Amino acid sequence: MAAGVLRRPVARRLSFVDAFLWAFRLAVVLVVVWGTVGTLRLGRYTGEQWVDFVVFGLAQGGIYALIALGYTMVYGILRMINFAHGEVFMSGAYTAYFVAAPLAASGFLDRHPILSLLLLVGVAAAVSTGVAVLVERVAYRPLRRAPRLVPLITAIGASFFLQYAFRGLYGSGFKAYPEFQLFKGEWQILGIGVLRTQAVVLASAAVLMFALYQFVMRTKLGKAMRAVSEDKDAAALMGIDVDRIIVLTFAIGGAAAGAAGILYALVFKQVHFFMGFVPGIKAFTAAVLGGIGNIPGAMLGGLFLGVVESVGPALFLDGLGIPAPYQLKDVIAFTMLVMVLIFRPQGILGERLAAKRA
Amino acid sequence: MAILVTRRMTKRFGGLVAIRALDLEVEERAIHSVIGPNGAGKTTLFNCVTGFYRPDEGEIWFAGQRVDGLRPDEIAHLGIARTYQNIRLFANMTALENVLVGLHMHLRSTWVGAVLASPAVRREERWAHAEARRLLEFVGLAGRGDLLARNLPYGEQRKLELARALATRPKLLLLDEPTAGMNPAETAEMIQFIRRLRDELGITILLIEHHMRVVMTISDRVTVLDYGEKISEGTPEQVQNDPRVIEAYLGTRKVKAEALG
Amino acid sequence: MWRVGLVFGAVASFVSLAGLVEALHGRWVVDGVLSTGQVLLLAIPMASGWTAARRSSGSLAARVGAGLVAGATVGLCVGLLVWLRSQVDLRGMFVNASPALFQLLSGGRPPQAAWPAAVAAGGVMGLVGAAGACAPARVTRPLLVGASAALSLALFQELVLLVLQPESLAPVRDWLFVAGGGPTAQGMAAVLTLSAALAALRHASRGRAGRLALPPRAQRMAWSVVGVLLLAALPVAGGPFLAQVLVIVGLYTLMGLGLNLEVGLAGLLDLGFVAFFAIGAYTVGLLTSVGEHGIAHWSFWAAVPVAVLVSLIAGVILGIPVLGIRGDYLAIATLGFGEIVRLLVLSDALRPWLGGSQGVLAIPKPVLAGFEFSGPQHLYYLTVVASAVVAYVAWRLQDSRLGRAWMAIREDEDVAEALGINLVSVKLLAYGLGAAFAGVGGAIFAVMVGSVFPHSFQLLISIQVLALIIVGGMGSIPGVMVGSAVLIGLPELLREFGEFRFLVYGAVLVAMMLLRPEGLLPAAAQRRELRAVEEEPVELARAAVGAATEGGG
Repeated sequence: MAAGVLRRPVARRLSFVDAFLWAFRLAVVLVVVWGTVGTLRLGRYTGEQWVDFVVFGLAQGGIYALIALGYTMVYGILRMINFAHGEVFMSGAYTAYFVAAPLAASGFLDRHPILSLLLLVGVAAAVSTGVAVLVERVAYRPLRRAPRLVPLITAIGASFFLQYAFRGLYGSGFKAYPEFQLFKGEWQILGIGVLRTQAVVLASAAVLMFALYQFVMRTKLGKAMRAVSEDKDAAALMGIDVDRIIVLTFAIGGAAAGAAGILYALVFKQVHFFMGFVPGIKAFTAAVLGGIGNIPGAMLGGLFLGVVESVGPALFLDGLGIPAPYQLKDVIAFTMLVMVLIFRPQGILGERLAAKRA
Repeated sequence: MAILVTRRMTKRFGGLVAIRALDLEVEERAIHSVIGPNGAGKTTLFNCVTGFYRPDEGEIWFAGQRVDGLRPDEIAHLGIARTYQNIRLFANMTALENVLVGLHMHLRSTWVGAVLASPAVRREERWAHAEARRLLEFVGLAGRGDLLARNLPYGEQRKLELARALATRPKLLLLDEPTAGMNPAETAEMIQFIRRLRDELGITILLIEHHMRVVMTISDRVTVLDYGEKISEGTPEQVQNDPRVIEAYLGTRKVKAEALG
Repeated sequence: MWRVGLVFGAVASFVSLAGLVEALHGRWVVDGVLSTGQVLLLAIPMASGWTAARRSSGSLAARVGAGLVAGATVGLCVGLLVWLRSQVDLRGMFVNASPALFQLLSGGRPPQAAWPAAVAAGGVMGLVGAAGACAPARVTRPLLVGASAALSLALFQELVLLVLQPESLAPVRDWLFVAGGGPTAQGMAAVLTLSAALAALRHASRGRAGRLALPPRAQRMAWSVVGVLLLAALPVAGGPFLAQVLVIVGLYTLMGLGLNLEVGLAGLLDLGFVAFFAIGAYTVGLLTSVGEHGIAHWSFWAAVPVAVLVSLIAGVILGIPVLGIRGDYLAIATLGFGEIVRLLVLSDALRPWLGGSQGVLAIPKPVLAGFEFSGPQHLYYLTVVASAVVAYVAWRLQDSRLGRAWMAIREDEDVAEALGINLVSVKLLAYGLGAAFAGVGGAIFAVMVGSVFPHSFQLLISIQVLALIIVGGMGSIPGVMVGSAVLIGLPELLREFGEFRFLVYGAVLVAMMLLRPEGLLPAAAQRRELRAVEEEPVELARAAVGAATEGGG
């Protein structure tokens, strides 16, 4: 593997490759500007609708952010993409369905909604944590010294295995998640009508992220994690059990993803064995956007991606006269992914990790 | 005549200045050594000359042509080849294939020709294999061509890296610590070999070396770097007696004999 | 040994609850006596015993004992599962926890009585496994070969029956198979003993085999003739179903050869590869369709070169932006591009031209000199010829100047560049030629199905192609063929296996990377090396074998 010590200089004579990349940038900027101007001129959407888009975007962005934490922490420590993280997210939400359904049937869910929600988050987080740790043990740990592509391939394998394992266990259909009566309707927040579900999701995501950030920055274990991420060998010399810290990282990332799974189920109201794939990729995009390895970056990146994806189709594409622009929301997310990887792999916050991994 | 010239070349990494305003002239058919303590900027100099880094200021001229800003492959085409401090072979390719990659830019066959197996391509491939075998033999690896590079013993890996560099038919060869990890007998052999490269093939050698006895034995000229700056230059004797060099190496003048003797 | 047993017990519970056991239960190994599902269940405690005996380092008795305990633990796990099911309704959660499954697991006994039987059966199988681990290879090898042969016959019985269709073969058929059912006991016993005996003979005469054989050149000639005859005869003997399966294997081989250039040789992990297959298919679809989206009504033969060219250009164009991205970032970026292409094709925005989710319909079959390639049996020959041509091209490229440059950038991009290799052109050629190969596959796919729509071009396909080149051996052309036969052909033939194929893919990807990263048929360089060191001192040979098996991507 080309784990080069050498870094390519950024600027060089303008070759046809550079010209092509500039044309690509220009095309994207043109589409965005042209579409935005067109949409605003058309005036098809009211101010309230834009607010709705943004709030929905923030809610789904909060979910992406929680998943992104797992990607970014694992990358920070092992310099590998845990491709199976989307499935870790799925496993918790899917399993918790089998707790949620009886709770709803017995009426417990609506009598004690907060308790139920906590219970569901707990179950989902526990299952996701278990799956994440299992994947690390089986698919990654034996390959820690292998060339970089090898763990990526096992990650892809693990991802497929998990999807179809859960399909085999729980079936291939969509399962409708029970709804909380309490979270139906809207709340007025600062004079804006906000769907209760979205407010709950956003608030929960914020609380979880804050707790996690405090854990990583303040506790002894969090410090050990950061030390391992800086330099594994040095950390081991300082008496830190690196294997244990790596397991812990997977566990925390898994727990966050499990919680995100419940929030996802609250918003989208269904679960499915394949539900982890697209949010997984998007959360990875969020992690890269914020600068991979950077925890606050992953949070910001998630919120940013959520909002762009929610506002984007209406704002950028509707004005171009594209029919059914909402079908293309994933195209917007993937375009952002590709553009970040090509033009700014160190992310928006510009963490200098890019230099480290080059 | 100088074949390689740098003028006021500076390379920074963030706030760190790896090389500061370096003026260097390497005479054609010379064996020129660059020495200095760890972190003095020696390997950075190599990386600038071969195009992996672009100097922040200054110029690099090679054989009368300005080369800073060119891509590494373009610089290789002009006739600069190198070896690496930590051997960098194509580990999962055979020794022969490693040398064949070195011959890449002297082969003309296109992919269409290769697919059609035209007579010209067949002839060229036969020639390339023969040439690669000859080079392996030249460095002392006759009969080892079919082994994967990663399975060769350390000393043979060094030789293979040299054969690969020679396959590009360089005018200037940059050697990054060629005797690292070698025992005295192997080191003596390597000194002979480097001399042969210059005397028989007419290749100019720019050498990074920590082993002072090697440097003093074979160099026509020595440049001493410290913290990215040139602090001394001259014949081995001149450099050896330069107080600044001794200070840079030891921080004191007392132990001159042990250091350079 | 307890822990080994628990791990395998978890595996046994998982394959049961995931439905694998029950699905395989539908196929007899010996009609009315033993099913493949039961074999799977019994194999798990056996593997458990084998592993435990392998791991324990004590006396023979200790190792056998470890195997016994490990096997019995698996039985205990299964027994617990049966008991659990009698207490709570598992089916609410696990869709495959059917009464039929538990009938099978408990052997028809009531739940309370099931677990001692399960423990006993597990213990016995564990003992068998441990015995296998302790016995010398000259005993175990033939037994293993015999068992695999018998199991293969059981798994592919439909195929064998298809070949035995003609009336003249009726006696053989009736002796091997129960009418309308699975294999007979006598047939299975015969197959098992015969193949075991052959394997034992081979093992015994291993030293002399070299002298008895033909010279290598003649041997190779003989094998190629046999291979060509076999390839030509297969669809005739196996009928349209087998031909269809083989066409699909051929299409994946084409894609595999293309991705192999990128991943196996040049080390560029491309997860958006299916986009080029799609581009080839859509180009042929649009150029030849007689339906509403057809633009030219060309013949297939005129459209194919265009499709290949369009795929090649698309490969280069999608390659340019990702030139500067390395390693795992490259994989994700190409995945992004692949998804963008699919979503755009699927969208209403491009519907007027590409037909949206409906796709392009009414693609005529190819006609050559008045002969229409209508059924799979005809398309089979087209696919074989196309694969052969592409494999030849790939083989020529691999040992060329360009192929060496690809391998060099796979190994170390910076060093390759310093040796005068232009990374831009070499990488773009890898993307372009790889895409062109996939385009050939797409073109044939379009006429095979008669329509193209975005649903056929999901990320799954890219992953399958990646999986097959890894299983076959990265950078190895025969490996691609073996990989697609094993990963694509086998699941197509085992129809009840269908819904588990991706589960198995995932497991296979992980297992291959852990146990045999160089693949089933490693690339040429490694084998050449293994041959070369045969004449060298022993230590070197050992080092080379170690390196080759630890090997890598």
